[in-house]
Order: sequence, then C-alpha cells, then structure tokens
Amino acid sequence: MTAGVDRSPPGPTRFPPAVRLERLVHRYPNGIEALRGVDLEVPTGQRLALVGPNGAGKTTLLLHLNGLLKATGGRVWICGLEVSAGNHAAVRRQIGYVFQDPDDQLFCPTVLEDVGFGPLHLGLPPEAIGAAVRQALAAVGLPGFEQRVPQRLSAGEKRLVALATVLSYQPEILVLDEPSAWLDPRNRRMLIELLGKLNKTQIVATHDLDLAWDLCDRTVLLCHGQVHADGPTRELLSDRKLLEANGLELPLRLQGVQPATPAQMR
Amino acid sequence: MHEKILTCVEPPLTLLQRLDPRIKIVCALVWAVSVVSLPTRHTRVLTAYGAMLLILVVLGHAEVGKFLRRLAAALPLILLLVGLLPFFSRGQVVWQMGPLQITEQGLESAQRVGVRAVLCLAMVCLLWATTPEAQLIAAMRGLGLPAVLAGAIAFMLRYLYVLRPELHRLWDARAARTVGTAAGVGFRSAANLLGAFFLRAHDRALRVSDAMAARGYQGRSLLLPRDRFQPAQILVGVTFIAVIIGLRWLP
Repeated sequence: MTAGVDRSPPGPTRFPPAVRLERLVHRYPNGIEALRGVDLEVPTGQRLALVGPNGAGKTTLLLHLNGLLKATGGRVWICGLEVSAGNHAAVRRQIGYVFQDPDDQLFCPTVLEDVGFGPLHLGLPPEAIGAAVRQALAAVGLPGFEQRVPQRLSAGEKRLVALATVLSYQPEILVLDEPSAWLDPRNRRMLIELLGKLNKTQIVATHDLDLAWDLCDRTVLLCHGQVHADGPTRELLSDRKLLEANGLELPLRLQGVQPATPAQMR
Repeated sequence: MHEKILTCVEPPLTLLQRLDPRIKIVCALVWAVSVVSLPTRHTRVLTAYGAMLLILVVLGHAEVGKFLRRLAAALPLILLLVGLLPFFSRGQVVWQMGPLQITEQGLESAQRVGVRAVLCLAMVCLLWATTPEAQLIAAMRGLGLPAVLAGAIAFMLRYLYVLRPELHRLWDARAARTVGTAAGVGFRSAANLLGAFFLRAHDRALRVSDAMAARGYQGRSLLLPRDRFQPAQILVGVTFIAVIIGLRWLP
C-alpha cells in the first residue's frame, strides 16, 4: 500500500468537504492562464479568505465554483458533487455567489423579485417563496424592504440585499467577491458582523485584509494563478515578507491603525 | 435623477393608487378604445372625459408636476402629427400658399385627432403617475405580455439608472482631458467615449447574465405568484368602465 494524497472523488457518504479543487487550470481565449493547477479543499463550515494582488486569479477561481466558467483542466467538487455541464442546477443550489458589484446582482425591478429570483428559479415551491424572502431580508436586517426598488437603495443596503438574494435559497456555501468594496466603515463593520453570524461555509475573495483578519479562520494567498501560501489567517497575514513579496501589505491593524469598535461606529 | 423619473407612491395611498395595476391597465385600455372610437362631433362627451380625467388626477393624488412633465414630453410628437394633417386632407381650402394648402376638413381632423391623442396620452400619464413602474411591469406580465418583452422593459428601467451615471463619468473624464482641443479631436474622443461606453454596457450585461445563471436562471423567466383579484377592486374597475361607456350616451 502506497502512502500519498487521496485523489478519489469524495462521495456523499464520506462527509465530503464543502469545496474541493483538483489541479484546476483556466486559460482565457486570449491565452492568459489565470489559474495554473490550483489544489484546494475547504471543509464544511470554514471561513476562507482568498487574497492576492490584482490579476491573481481570485475571481476566476470563484467563477468555477458554480460552473460559470468551464475549466481548461482539473476538476471541481461542491459538497461531493462534481461540477459539470449536466448538474449546474444542483451545484448552484449549494452555492450562493455574491458578485462584486451589487448592481450586477440586483437586476429585478423590486427587492422582492430579486430576493425571490433564486428560490423561484432553483425550484422552491412558489407558495414558500414569500416566507423565504421575508426570512432572508430579516437575516440581513432589512425587514419590510420587499417593495423597494434597487436604484433607490444606498450602497450599504444594496450590498445587504445582494446577500439576501442568495440567503433566500439557503445555500450551503457562500461565495463573496470583494464584499467590502464601496462600503463606508460603518457598513463594512456591519457586514463583517453579519457574515460572522452566518453559520455557513464562506469563501471570501478580498483585498481587505482587515476583513479577512476579522472574519476568516484560514487564508489562501493566490498569485499568478497559483497558491503561494495557505494557513491560519492571523499567522499568514502577520508575515510581512510573504505579503510584500506578493504585492500585498500587512493589515492596517498590524500597521498600528486600530479599527473602531462596533459601539464607536454607532 | 430618480425622483424626477421614477414614480414613488407614498402612504397613505388613495383608492386609485391602491387599485390593482392590472385593473388600472384594463380600464386605461377601455378608455383609449372609447375615446378613439367616438364618432365626430361628440364635443360634450370629450369634454366630460376631460373633466373625468382631471377629477382622477386630483382624487388620485398624482404628482401634478410629474404628470404634466411626462405629458409635455410626448406632446411634440402629437403636435407634429396634428400639424401636418391640415395640409394633407382634401376639402374646402381656407388658406393657400403655392403648392401648400390648408383645408377646413383638414383642420377638423387635426382637432379631432389632437384631442383624442391628448386624452389617451393623459390617461397613460395618470396610470404611470399613480403606479410604480415595477408594479406596471408585473401587471403587464400578469395580463399576458410576453416574458421577453416585459424583461426587456424591466432591464431598461433598472439599468437606465446604472448606465446613465456611467456615461456621465466617462463624459466628465473626457471633458477633464480635452480642454481647448480642435473640433476633429473632440469628435474623435467623443466617438471613443461612446465605444468605451458600449463595451462597458456589454461587459455589465455579461456580468448580469452570470448573476442570473448563478441563481438558477436557465433561459426561462418564471413569475412570482401574484395576488388574486379582490372583489372590491374588480367592482371599482367595473364601475369605472361603466362610467366611461355611460358617458358616450350624453346628448
């Protein structure tokens, strides 16, 4: 019997990891190789920060998790289910993908229709959708927003409604692309608190290393389409040399800037 | 900008604002058919329709400024059509200059078409002023408007507010770097700007498409369950239609 990495696909009876990537490669039509053989496993319930400089491949990686991009090479499993053209609906039921720009995510005339869009198109019974919408909006602290129109929401409200659009169908995994972009400090702090309370596997691609510090147990540093470092967040984000070698810098709190407490923000 | 364009109906709501948008659309259609199909020389009926419209504007608490602005925006088109009619109808000539001539029959048909067009347009503006756009789209979809068309209208309304500021930002960036340039350079940079704007809009469309696919969209738009018609609201709609039809019999 030879020792080594188990490459067999995880089956549902083996308590599979929430996400498993095996030698994932993605090459864009213009020849740029955005991902170069990424191996990654995210256990259920873990909060993982994906950090790296611009063009490192973070968003490209996230887009593979629900089959929005087709891998040039390698394989992806979500909750034990291999992502392939035939099972996108099943995979997308497990993944709540929150895009970087809420204006991309909120495309319906009202908040009700936007938050109900996922449950409706992923097969929730129509009579259960109203309750799902109310529950999701309550979870993000915006009860009663059903009839609001997205263009009248503030940036912070848009971000929270964008989160509600995926919470409404109760995915196992939350995937967030730059969740703190365009948020003021108070809304950013509220979002961190909210995400911290959600009992779900979370994968957060971000340049906001303080958010990663506050929220995530584990951090993966991606650079030039490869994993350059993988470890506990506070250990990895304290490594000045590693961060600077990869075009990043220490979180502000390690540079002597103390973040305001939630009480001070209020 | 939103406040100038979007319809926002704040509580407490009037009966007209509360009325099911599907019923309002049906009533507006009956109104349009009734107005357009009135025989010539029914001035009293048209006057009664005009008075009824004014009463509805007042009772509906429609924002008069917005109502008039929207009406005024469409008036040039009506004026253009109505202005041409007197020149193209045969009949007794009342004015002539060279090959151009205005006939009495032409003036009459211009008046007839003009009044009817304004009444129909005013009803559309009233419907719009008392019903938020999102509800109108949902109601049209509920009344059988094809999903593709309803979707196109909804996307247009939604992304007008995203793309317009984007165009402004591009315009400002161009203006900041093209002070005192020659006309040719200015045209070229404006063309570049429009090209960049279309590319950005295209990129956004792709991202929106991804966001839809990520939440289960597979090419078929589904509808959220709609509220059932309330008997009281149906009664209001039937009464309104009865009044419209009843006014046609005015002496």
